[in-house]
Amino acid sequence: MKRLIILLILLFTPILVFAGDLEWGGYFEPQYMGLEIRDNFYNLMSNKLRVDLSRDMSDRVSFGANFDYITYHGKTEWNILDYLPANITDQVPEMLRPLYKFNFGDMVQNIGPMTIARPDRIFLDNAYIRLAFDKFDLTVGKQQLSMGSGYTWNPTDLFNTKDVLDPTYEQPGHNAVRLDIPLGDRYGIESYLAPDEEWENTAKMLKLKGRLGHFDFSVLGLHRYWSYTDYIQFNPGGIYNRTLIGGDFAGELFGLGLWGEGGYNFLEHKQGFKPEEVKDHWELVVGSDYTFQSGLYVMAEYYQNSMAHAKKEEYTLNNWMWMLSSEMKTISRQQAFGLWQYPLTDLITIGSYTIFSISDRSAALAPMVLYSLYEDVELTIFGNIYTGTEGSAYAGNMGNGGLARLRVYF
Amino acid sequence: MYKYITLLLIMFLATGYSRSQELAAGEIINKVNELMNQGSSKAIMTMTITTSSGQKRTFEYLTYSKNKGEKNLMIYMAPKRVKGQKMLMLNNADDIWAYFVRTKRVRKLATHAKKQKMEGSDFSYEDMGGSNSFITDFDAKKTGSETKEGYKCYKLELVKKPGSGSSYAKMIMWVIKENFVPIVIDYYDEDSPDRVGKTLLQQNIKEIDGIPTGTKIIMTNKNDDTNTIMVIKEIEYNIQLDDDMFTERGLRK
Repeated sequence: MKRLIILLILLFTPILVFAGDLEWGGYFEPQYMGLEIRDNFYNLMSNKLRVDLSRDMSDRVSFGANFDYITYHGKTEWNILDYLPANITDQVPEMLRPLYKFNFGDMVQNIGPMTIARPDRIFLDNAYIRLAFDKFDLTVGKQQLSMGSGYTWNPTDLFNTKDVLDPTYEQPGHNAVRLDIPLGDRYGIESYLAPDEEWENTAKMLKLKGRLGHFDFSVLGLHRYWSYTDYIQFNPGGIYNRTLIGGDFAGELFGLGLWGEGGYNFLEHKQGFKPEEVKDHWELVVGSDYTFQSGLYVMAEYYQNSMAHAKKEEYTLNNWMWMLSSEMKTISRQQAFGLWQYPLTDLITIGSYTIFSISDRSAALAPMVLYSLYEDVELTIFGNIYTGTEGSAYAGNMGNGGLARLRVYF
Repeated sequence: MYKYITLLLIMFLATGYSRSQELAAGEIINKVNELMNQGSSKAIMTMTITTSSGQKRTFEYLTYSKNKGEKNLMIYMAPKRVKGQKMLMLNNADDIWAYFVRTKRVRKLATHAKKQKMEGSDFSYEDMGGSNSFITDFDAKKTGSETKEGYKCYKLELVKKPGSGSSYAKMIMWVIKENFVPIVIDYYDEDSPDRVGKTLLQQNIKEIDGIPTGTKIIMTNKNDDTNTIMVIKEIEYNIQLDDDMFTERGLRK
């Protein structure tokens, strides 16, 4: 009931404030995922309602917000240890094993002696106001912060981690102040400030961007605190100051789309857990794409992370957990991504992703079909097939199956 | 005396008329280019796709154009699925950016993206991006005069220049002599240069702000047996547009 009240408040407050000029829309997205893991077949379903609100109060002031309401059904409780190789899980003491369970929705409610999983989620994903001044724009509030020209990986983005099997899905909002200063029509400055409890821990980003010929480029500096949790003992995470110096470019060469993004990360240990493998490191991604006359679109990306490991035997429990919790973008050092898409008819597009871990020779394949079922109704079907041996980044025991997602826009 | 003056006048007019008949291919294509790339414009258009199975999808979008088509901005208004998505094309569509409203991301696209179908329609982004493409990407040759769709037309053959990035090997264009509207264009794909891949037909030509404008444009795809109808609901020419609209800052607004 409390959730419903919050939902109604979120829905109607802006409507009351901005009266009739408020634009609203969004989508409803039921999704089914089926996975076969070690001879068991599991179902996970979700229903997501996303409501978008926006209003241009004037040429200079605009407001935007989104809230999501998601319910999860079927197998909502998972234990990460079930998908990791035995040599990794053996390190975990029996009494700590339940800690590796998690619920979709990340919500557990205690009622008396009972612990009832309540995997539904409601949250304000974005709510921001944008002020346009003569010389700059200011965006204040919870907003999507997306950085970098990479399609699957973004080494310069320390706010989000993409799902490599679904990299274009919208990212969550972050509480921040964003400043955009155009410098002529070719250059500009972009800056974020994402406040935390202390100024020292507040994320700060400054980017200079420009255009040279047919290439866009940027150089940036980003500073924020970072934590690496000790998942073996479940101790509080080691706190680091993380400073990233990097940049990106995107353009065209000999008719091919070409982009790249990279950065060097300086990690300064502040307190707590200090794993040996956490060190200064660099990440980079380069990619290229092309559209053939037939409409066939192909794309490839290569990614490297010098802190990740070159052999699967070197992966530790912490590495796996850091990757799953987005504390680290990847577990294997070198990876490649390939995509092809072809418009089979005006309404149906087929294609496939392939992610290949060069370091441990494992791969995941994701064939897909996108179908415009009706006006404003889209059906997306993904398969996911992991081919690697146990312990590799894309090991077969991760679960083979597929996902069907219907999206109805309103 | 009166007869003499009348005779001279007739001779003068006849000479002038014959001169207009003798326009070279280059002059005709320049006039087509000038007509299609006005100083600036703002239009609201609908685009209805009819698939081979008879299903329909309708899109509505707003377009802005400046500097004789050198700068173009397209904003989707409907359906809800794509509302707010934007495409910015600068330098005669040699530089393209897409703004994805769901991820609030601006992505620089290579020019090969122009070959992609516009939201599954029979128009590619190349067909849409107002530019000097007829001049810069093709060599024009006049092959005669014909009556097409009831209009007296010049018939031009446009052959792709070596090194051009266009996805068409050739176009046959019928241009109305009276106003230089390209009433019909046959497009020949690079993959099968001997066969018409698509045909564009302009209908309902109206004078808007003194400029002849085809307000209904039909693109028929002969390969897929589909067609897309584009209707101009509103259009204004030679209006004041802020340069800021055609920047990344403008895309994010």
